[in-house]
Amino acid sequence: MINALLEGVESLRLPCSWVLLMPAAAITLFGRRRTALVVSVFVAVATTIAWVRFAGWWFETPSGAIQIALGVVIMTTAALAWKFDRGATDVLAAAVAGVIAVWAWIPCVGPELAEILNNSRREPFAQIGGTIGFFLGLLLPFILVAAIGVLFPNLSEKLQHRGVVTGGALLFGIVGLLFATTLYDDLASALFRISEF
Amino acid sequence: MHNTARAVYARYMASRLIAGFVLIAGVFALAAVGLGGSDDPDPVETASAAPAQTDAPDQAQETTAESADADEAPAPTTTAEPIEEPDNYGPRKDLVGLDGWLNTDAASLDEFDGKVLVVEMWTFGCHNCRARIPHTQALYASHSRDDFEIIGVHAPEFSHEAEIPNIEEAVERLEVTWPVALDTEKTNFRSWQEGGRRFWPRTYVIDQNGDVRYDHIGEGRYQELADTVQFLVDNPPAITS
Repeated sequence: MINALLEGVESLRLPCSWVLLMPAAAITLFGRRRTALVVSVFVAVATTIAWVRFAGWWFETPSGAIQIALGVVIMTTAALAWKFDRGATDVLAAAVAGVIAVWAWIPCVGPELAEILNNSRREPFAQIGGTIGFFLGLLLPFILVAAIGVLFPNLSEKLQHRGVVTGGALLFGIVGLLFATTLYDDLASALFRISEF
Repeated sequence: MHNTARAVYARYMASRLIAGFVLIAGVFALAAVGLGGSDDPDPVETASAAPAQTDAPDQAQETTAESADADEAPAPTTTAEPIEEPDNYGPRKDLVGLDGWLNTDAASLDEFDGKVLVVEMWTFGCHNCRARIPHTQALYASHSRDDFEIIGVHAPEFSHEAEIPNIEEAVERLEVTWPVALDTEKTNFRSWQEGGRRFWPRTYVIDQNGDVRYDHIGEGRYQELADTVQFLVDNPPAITS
């Protein structure tokens, strides 16, 4: 589990992971005083869906009309969470982000994740620990932001600034829009190319 | 009321304690990865290598190498003990809807029938795919083309990886000398990998009859792959067609 966690941290710098990290960044930014809650929901949902997917019990990666519909769902939940500022809408947005982010994600597979994936069909329950470890590592920056928010409430108040919250909701909305227009991969591609300079 | 206040305080302190623990553990994890080197994921692999894996020393060597351009590829060695006959997962699929091939005059996977084939789904932007290349180069060098071939199926993740000049440049830069099928629309990447389980890289071994005998997702298990190829080269299955 520790090795999987470390590989998850390593994977942060791989462009394959950014497709998953952008929604995570968005919900962390607009989590307001509930950052710890929304990050926890995102991590839990993303890890669960990934494990189910690794075991072969999940669907095809989204495309066509389903992809458009999911993009609209993302935009709607972003708007609801931004407008109502309620626990329920924030949790809904975090859960939607977790499901769709992992559904759309095609990972580049390092040695630890490889062991999890190659064994998950045969022994799915034995891979739960490794999957949790990998996702804790991959989503570590957001978990740290949430932890800092709990430990230092003054810093947390800065995160609740309207500009930050609107920025987060906007980023989530943009993810939804790009997803619906099938341009999401192009954004990741552009970021990848920028990172290579 | 007093009890309620105490309960709230206890909950507040517990959440701070958990957050403090998470923060410290997280910083340690980041430091551990940061100290392990910024460009090489293989320390993880080395740390986790099972003692039974015969390629563990080679993997340890690899930790010092830049994975994308490691020239000192560990040569696959054959194990002293005979390995078990690999499982048979049934007939391979075809490669269809390709945008062409690189490093070969072949126009179809059928042209390689009768050989042991390693078919590897990859894309040049994928770090873990690049990390496999030195091992694949070593495997390629260790067998004659008469009975063994490697087929890279290049399936792009991002749009710039779908541009053929970029693929050609990457193939040359990464010293990929084996045939590469251009699966720009990811038709074969999807059809070969069933359901929601699609990943880069993914490696298959096809025997002389066209049956899939090995399937591995991701990095690692290079010796297992080399052993499987060696077994099939040495023990070709009875011809079925």
